[in-house]
Amino acid sequence: MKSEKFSIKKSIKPFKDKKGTLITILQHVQKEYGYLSKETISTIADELSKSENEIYGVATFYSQFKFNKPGKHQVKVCLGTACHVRGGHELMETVERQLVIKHGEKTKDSQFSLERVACMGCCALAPVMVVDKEIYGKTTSTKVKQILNKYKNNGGR
Amino acid sequence: MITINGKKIPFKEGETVLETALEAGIYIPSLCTQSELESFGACRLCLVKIEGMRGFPTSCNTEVKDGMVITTEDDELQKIRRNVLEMLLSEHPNTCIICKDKDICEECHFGPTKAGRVTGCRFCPNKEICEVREVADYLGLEDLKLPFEYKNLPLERDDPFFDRDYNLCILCGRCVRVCQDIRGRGTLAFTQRSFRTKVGTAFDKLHIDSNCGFCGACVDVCPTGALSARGSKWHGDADSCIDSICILCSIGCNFSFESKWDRIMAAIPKREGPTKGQVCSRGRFCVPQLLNGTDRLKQPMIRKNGKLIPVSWDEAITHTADKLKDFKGEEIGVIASKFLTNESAYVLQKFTRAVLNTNNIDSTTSDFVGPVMKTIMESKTANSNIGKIENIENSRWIIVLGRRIFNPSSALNPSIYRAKKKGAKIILIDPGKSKTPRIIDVHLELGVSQTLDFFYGIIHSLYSSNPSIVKKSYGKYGAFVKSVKNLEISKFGKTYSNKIKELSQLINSSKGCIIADPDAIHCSSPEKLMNAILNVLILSENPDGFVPYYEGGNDQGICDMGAISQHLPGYSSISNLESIKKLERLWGTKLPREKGKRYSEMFKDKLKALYLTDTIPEEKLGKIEFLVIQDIYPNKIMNKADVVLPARAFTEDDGTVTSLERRVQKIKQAVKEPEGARSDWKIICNLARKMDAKGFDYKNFQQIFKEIKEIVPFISGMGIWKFGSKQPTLFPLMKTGEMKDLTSSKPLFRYRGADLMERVDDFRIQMGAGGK
Repeated sequence: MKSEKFSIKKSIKPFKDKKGTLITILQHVQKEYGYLSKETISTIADELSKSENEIYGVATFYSQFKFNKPGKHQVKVCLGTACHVRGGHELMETVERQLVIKHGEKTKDSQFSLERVACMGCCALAPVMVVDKEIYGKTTSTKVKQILNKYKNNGGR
Repeated sequence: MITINGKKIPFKEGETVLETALEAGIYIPSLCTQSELESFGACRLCLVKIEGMRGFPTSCNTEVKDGMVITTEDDELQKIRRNVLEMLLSEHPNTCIICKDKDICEECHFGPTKAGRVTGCRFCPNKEICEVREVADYLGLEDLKLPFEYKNLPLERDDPFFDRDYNLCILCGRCVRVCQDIRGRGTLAFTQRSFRTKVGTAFDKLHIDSNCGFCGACVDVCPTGALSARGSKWHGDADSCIDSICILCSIGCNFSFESKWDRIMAAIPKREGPTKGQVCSRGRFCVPQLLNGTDRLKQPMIRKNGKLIPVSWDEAITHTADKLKDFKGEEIGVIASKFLTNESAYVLQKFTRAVLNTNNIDSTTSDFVGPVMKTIMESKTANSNIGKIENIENSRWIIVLGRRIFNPSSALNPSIYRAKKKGAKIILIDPGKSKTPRIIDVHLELGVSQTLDFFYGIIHSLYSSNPSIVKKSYGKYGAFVKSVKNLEISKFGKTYSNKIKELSQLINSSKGCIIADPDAIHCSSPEKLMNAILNVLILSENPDGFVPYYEGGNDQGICDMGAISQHLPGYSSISNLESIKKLERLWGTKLPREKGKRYSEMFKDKLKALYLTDTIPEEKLGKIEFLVIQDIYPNKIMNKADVVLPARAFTEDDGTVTSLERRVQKIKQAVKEPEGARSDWKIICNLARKMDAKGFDYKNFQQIFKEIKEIVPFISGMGIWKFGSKQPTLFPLMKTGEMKDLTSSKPLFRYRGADLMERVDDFRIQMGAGGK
């Protein structure tokens, strides 16, 4: 815990006593840890002399912030307009079935977490799914298993 | 001039349209505004038309400008408002609001309802004062066209004092704003967004883990039944509401005490008080459970054959009078409770001095209030507004001695927070190592002797940077300057010199105040510390900046009335023969010349009889032969009592009390006393008459107050009393030396013999969590 606090303190320092920097701080912290834990929020609050409830209130307003530790691999399925038209919902259902979780959840072995997003900016490839930073365009339900297996087999990657 | 609905109306610069309209008696519906909160514009019900402005501006955050032409009510506006309200009600259980028979329903279905989950009118704890319904009635909303969506959130009932049912919440944000902007706690915040928006804490933790002070401010501003005090939500309409004062601490917050079935049911804060309706958990929630106990003392008791036997009042008084006659003056001691009214305290000290013939009367907190008042009187600052709570808000710096004021969150905290928002620096001096409250800028972990060194350091630094700061017109100018010049800076002062320099620059010539807790100056020579504190305040030209945070509701009054060993009523000295003779003339009796003993010294030698109106540690009672206890509850030390006399509690008595501001306020009887209990002053008067004393024939408390006004020159009626009119006097510095710290480790929250932690479960839970 000690090293964590130290790093948050360091990353907050340039923003301290400036107005309107909370989002940036939260983004920095999330980048570091992958999510905002109870401890990190309470540390940020202490550093900024705010209450953790206020920080949490701001953070939960934005969908970009996560409050649970994400899985090793983050699966995102696009449900934006183009993907919706090209069967994004079916793709989502297939992924959910394959991973045995609903979107917004994490598999029991913490290997995968699943999220829905609204547009990745590559609508020509619809329907799109993203695993970690890799984009899989024109994904059909049959390809899902193959894609996920790549990560399952290569869990340590 | 502005025009509202065709009428010319004057306005004040800076006011909002809503405020101006309400002042002129024009109603505009609104659910999110609250006079002490900044406008928010959340509910969209206060929409108006203003000529020249586009659309429908919200009147709560539109400033009035000269020549505005405003329409607050027409068909179009009402239609929009109805639509807005409909949308609000599509998420708020609404049968109670739109039902046509609701008025008849109320009449037929009286009495308490105890459903946990609120789905309709009969089960809402807020039905008597529902603001949503008021607005619906005004708009004539009779039907809902939108489908209803019940949020189905879990009820939150695991915290002390109040329940939360956010299914009833309309997201007006009053609770969030009062918690963040007024109280400065930040326990409540809006979390999530859109449909899932909810008022709550981080990660939906319990309030007790989220820095909540349980002040109840959120409950008081909630326009719906979402937040409700658990202890008082089910009893329905109160039989009576009496405006009085809470005396569980010395701030003197005004409350309206609701009673039903001859019991206190709730205490509702009133705006009129010194803290403008901001109170603490003790006053807001603890009073009913504290005073309604079934074991209240109802009958006098006398020890016969080793057992306390209930007897009649007559027998008890006769027995006590006979026994007390057997002791000599110096063998008797009297302890005045810090919760007695001024009248009772006055009568008690008169009884002690005139009848028992001793000056051995003291209060358990005289170690704090004694030195404080002595210093204030000697420094001639009692003529200013010293101690006034308003001073806190306008300060640029606040030194808080002792952290007890933050836990439990006291009614002074909003004032401190307001100062902080205006840019004040808050400095805490407290040796404790636990987490520093968020509001604190600088925490100095100093013990009592170091605190004295610290203040001396500041005085020295103030003087050396600018000797003309010590004005020649101040009393004891020469001696003071000489003592400062000769001051040896202690080792501590040297190590802290940077901090001292920094703070003395801040303190120098800017407005500020020092708030002290009894524990923080509880040491072997509290006078020294108090003198240093007053010196600092006078030098920084804040002679009115000292705020003593007394424990008891009437510590100040006890001291003023002379129910304290060091002086006679009105601070006249016991060694001054003239003042004694004056009293002898007025009371028509001979008075003792010998000085009385302080509480801390009282039990050392020949004390044989003790008259207690408070409770004291059992081990002090070692050699007492005759013990009289006058209290409201039975407690441990009654094992040793020879006579027990049942007194009335503060909600059952009339009289006056004096708050820490030296504000004399009336307390009124809000509820019938338990049968058999009597007012303290009546008991003492009975006793005095039994002992053949004259001058104890008061019929009511007003007669006593009249006599007080004659004897204590500066008390003339209700309000803040002032005394003297001279320039402030400084205190020459003394050698610092080692001071013994007598700080008690555990704060005690008591009302006479009743321990709040023991009697009020929720208070125990609150304090158990520690609070941050």
